[in-house]
Amino acid sequence: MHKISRPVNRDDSKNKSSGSAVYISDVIKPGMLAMAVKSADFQHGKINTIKKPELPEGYFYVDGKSFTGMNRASIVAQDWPFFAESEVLYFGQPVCAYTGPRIEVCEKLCIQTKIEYTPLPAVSVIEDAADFFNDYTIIKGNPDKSFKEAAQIFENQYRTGMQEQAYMEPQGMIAEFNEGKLTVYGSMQCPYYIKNSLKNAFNLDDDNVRVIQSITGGAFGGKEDYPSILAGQAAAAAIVSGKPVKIVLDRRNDMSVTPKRHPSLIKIRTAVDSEGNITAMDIDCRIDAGAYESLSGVVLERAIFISTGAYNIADVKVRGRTMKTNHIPSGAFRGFGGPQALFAADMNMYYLARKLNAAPLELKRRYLFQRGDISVTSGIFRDDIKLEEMISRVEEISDYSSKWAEYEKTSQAGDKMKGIGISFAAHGGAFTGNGEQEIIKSLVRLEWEPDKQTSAGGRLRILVSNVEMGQGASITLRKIVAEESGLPLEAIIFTNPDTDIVPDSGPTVASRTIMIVGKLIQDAAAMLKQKIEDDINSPSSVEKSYVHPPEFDWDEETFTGDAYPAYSWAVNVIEVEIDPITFEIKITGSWAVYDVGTPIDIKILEGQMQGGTAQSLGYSSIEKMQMINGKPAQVSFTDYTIPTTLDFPDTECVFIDNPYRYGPFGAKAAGELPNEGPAAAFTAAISQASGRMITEIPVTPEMLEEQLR
Amino acid sequence: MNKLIKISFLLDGRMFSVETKSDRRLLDILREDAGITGVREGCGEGECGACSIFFNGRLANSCCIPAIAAEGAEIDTIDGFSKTEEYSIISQAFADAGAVQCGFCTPGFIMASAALLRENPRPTDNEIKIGLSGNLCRCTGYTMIIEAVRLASGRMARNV
Amino acid sequence: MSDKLFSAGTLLPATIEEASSLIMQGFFPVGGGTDIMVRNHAMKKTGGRVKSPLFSCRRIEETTGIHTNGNILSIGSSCTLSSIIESSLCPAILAESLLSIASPGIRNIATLAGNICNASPAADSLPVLYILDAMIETAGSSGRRSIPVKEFITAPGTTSLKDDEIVVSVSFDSSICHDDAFRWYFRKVGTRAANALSKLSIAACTLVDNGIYSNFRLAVGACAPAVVRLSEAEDEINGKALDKGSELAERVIPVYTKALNPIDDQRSTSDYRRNTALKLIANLLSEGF
Ligand SMILES: Cc1cc2nc3c(=O)[nH]c(=O)nc-3n(C[C@H](O)[C@H](O)[C@H](O)COP(=O)(O)OP(=O)(O)OC[C@H]3O[C@@H](n4cnc5c(N)ncnc54)[C@H](O)[C@@H]3O)c2cc1C
Ligand code: FES
Ligand code: FES
Repeated sequence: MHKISRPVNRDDSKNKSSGSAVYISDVIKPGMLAMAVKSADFQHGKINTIKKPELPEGYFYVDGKSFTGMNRASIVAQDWPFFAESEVLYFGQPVCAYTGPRIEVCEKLCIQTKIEYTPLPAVSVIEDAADFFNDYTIIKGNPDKSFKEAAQIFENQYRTGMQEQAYMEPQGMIAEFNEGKLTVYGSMQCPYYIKNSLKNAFNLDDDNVRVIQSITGGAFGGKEDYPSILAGQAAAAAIVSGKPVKIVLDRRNDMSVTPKRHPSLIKIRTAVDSEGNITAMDIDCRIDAGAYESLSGVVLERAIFISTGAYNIADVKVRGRTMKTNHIPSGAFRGFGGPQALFAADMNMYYLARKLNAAPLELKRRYLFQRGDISVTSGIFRDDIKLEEMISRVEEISDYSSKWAEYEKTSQAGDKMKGIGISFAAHGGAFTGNGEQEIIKSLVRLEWEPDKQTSAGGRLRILVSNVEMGQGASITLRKIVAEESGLPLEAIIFTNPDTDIVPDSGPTVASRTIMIVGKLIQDAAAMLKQKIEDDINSPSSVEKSYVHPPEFDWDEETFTGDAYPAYSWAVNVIEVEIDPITFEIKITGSWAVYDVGTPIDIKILEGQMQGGTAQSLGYSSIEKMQMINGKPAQVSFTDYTIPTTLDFPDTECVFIDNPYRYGPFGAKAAGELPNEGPAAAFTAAISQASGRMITEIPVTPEMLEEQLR
Repeated sequence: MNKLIKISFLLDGRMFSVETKSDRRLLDILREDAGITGVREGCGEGECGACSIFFNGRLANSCCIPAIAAEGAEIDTIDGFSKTEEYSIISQAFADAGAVQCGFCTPGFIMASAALLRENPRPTDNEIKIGLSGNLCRCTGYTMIIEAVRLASGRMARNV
Repeated sequence: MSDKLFSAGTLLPATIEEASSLIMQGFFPVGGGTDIMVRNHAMKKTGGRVKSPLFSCRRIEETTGIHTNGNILSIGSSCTLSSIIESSLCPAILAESLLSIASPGIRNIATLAGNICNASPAADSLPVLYILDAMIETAGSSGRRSIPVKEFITAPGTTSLKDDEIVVSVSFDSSICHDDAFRWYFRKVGTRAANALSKLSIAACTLVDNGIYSNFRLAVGACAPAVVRLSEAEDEINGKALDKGSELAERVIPVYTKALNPIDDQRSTSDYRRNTALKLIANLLSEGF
């Protein structure tokens, strides 16, 4: 283990524990107004009239016309309006808002606002959707030929549900407009996304928009996109009223209007030759984008780029589409298209194993990617892939194979419903394709502030736009700089980003913070160390911007080349027991082996893995979000049940060592990896236990009862 | 009809009075009138435990308690509790176990852990899980929170 | 605003008369508030009817404490679920059902009366109260009433409580629970492992003498607009041998099948509720208690 992996205690735990940490809902500004948004109670229709109540003194009305620039948030695609214009495209779409001194009055004004619609046909399921925002096809090798020559062709279909991020702190934002300058504070992942959105929304120049992150109570992707909408709404209200405006969503509202994980429907045809070898796959991947494109195109890219999972299939055709439905626009959620694609890919291997009468692990391991193999996008896996070593480790801790053999007998005998499943996951670190060099162009700055009072002789400030949202960036980034500069951790300062102070090092997404930004600050720290050594008593600073390693090639037009510079890997084993009467599912064991390069902090990483695995197991089982006529049916923590202490066992985690040459101290992407694999391991376990081929998550007792009745 | 009432209760050891409606949430009184924002609102429906307090010495969800129920009660929040020795042990255990990520759930978990350890100083793992079953954490998957309670329990036993 | 200061004491009446008078003035009684407060919070956001203002009965002596009078156990309406669970007087079957409700923090404030008055088909105390033939003791300006729980609950969300009445206590003959021949069963199938609402629940108890059922009672929760308890099925079972369970199941399952009429909702499906409840009943009978 590298010495940087040794855990240190988080210093933010003090304020967070005592309750003195200040989240956006705790902030009060002088003269601050409250705000409530009127959401459409209609799925799809043309707005005929909006009947507004009379405004009490001190209250203001805001809608799409309140934007002096464009009434569209800039979230990859610039199509999602802050407020609906002539048409409502999904249930819960913001139509207008009220701001004023008392939240109860604003809420009442929303209730009194009556909107009349002319109904338009609504699309509620992927299968019924005819329109799409993106339609991509990738071909690797010669799939047509392989299908023509196939001895057998298998076809199956996999479905994944919607998932709510369920960060514990609901979304919130405060906006102020003073002397031509707009400032917003809030819970967020991507300060510069918001800044950009606001510049475009109000035609403001760079100097006149400032975004400051407040302590963020969890995000998981859910605070990547919607904070831009919320910031725009609050900013419009602040500009109209001339007062600071705060909007904090209550839980039901948050769950009713914010984006969720894309549901998916993935069909896979598999060609098998006369010797029983898998020769080709034809994959049709559709994800439910909802009513606006927003960032769905990028989610789709991640899904199709990893559409054969951790398996090397010689000839592949993948078609991916982001289907347009009348749902809340789907958004970012830890994994970002990966969990859907990996579920389908891994379950398809399970399905093929059953069809070909092979043990699932034996079939799967024959196709696992190895160094030098070619990815779906015809990129090259340049680094060592240690999946075989990881299999041995997971066998050691879980006893997978012997349990599998035992349950194979018992489940066939039909007495006890026990099962165990294994899955393999790959996660490409950082932005997809050429995103890092063409779109993000990350820039970081380190500053040295001499201070003779301190034992280190000063402070080293990390200036990046990446946020601490619970994942530990405020420690891991500092550890990297401390290790590289030789300064003590206490001398390294990281504060919540303020776009007036920090450069744009990119959003806090795609597990890029350590791998990309961490590497940049490591390099910058090495340079600054030199300057400090030369003259410790003068302030100095270093800036560093991202340069893509030259050997990685990418063609954005054809999606060919290295979609990601490096991959992280996971092997998950999940063991389950099904109650033979009620079909309630009990997860009795969870084991995982990860390759994330060098762990920057083993404890923080273990926290990421435990938390992510629980989210993924929730996704697979108890977290069900149904859209009924376009309206989410589970919009409270009562009905949308996320895991409690009693639902899942701990995951026994092992990290193997496989340093990545371009990562800081060898670190690769980690944050999203635990969300990638567990669903397929779980569903394979359920399939074994129930003796049925399960192809859909979440797996509920209701679904099992229907199948096994 | 919706008259204000004057209610008084012992808040973190001191008498606190407020004029409010009978059905106002204790959570709002604590956050807005008493300024104790460490009592957090995660759901407002009794599901997440972020608003946990001690109500007459026992764990309770302050978002479900109407003002009228607080009259004459003894209410302790994270604000007062964080000044106790018990808190230092528990919060240190949380830090050492790595149980704090985004921290939004943490004050609630600390209150629930304290309530559990008061009633059952040496809980088994399952008893810890039951004791904390009314508190949701989306970040940690609970492993390290449960470890923190184990640690705190051991350290408290050594302290006495 | 016409808001005038009111003394808190007025909203903490010490007598039934004062409580009745408050109800007549438009005040709503509140127990722990876990139901009202959550409902009100949602209603305020949607413009629905809010139960406000509130008063609490907790200073009315008769609503406090758990007492026995001969064989009758009486639980005051202001008792919290935790205090009931922790009471040595509380039969294990009731404690088990109350422990399945919500979480420790909620159980420390919620009351049994609140769970009953809630009158939710999924209220977890109800199946057990049905099989214990619990009586709801009410009082108001027109006097006192003692109402069997199955008559007290009239429809989902509604009770036969009169306009000016409060629930004073819940009582039942607990002697059966102390019989050596007493056996009981409670099973809640919830939406997750803890802090979950019921998809369905089953409560049953019986005396078993020399392998023969007597006093068999069984209730199903969340599978119809009200808790289902069927004397027709119970009569069929009483007097029969425990080890004839599978035959018994065959005979009574059709009876239960006819009576169960669950709904599809955001927590489960009608089919799952019905089929699972029936299987649990069949299994209970064939395995014996
Ligand atoms: C997070 C959470 C989880 C829950 N989980 C469950 C669960 O698992 N199972 C379950 O069954 N329920 C559950 N509930 C529902 C509810 O909280 C419980 O039913 C609880 O027992 C209600 O009691 P209370 O005293 O808090 O009710 P209150 O809210 O105080 O009152 C409920 C109703 O009863 C009336 N009332 C109360 N006392 C009297 C009285 N003395 N006379 C006349 N009317 C009266 C009130 O006017 C009101 O209409 C849950 C609630 C929450 C918030
Ligand atoms: S805010 Fe009270 S339980 Fe969630
Ligand atoms: S630490 Fe984030 S919810 Fe618990």
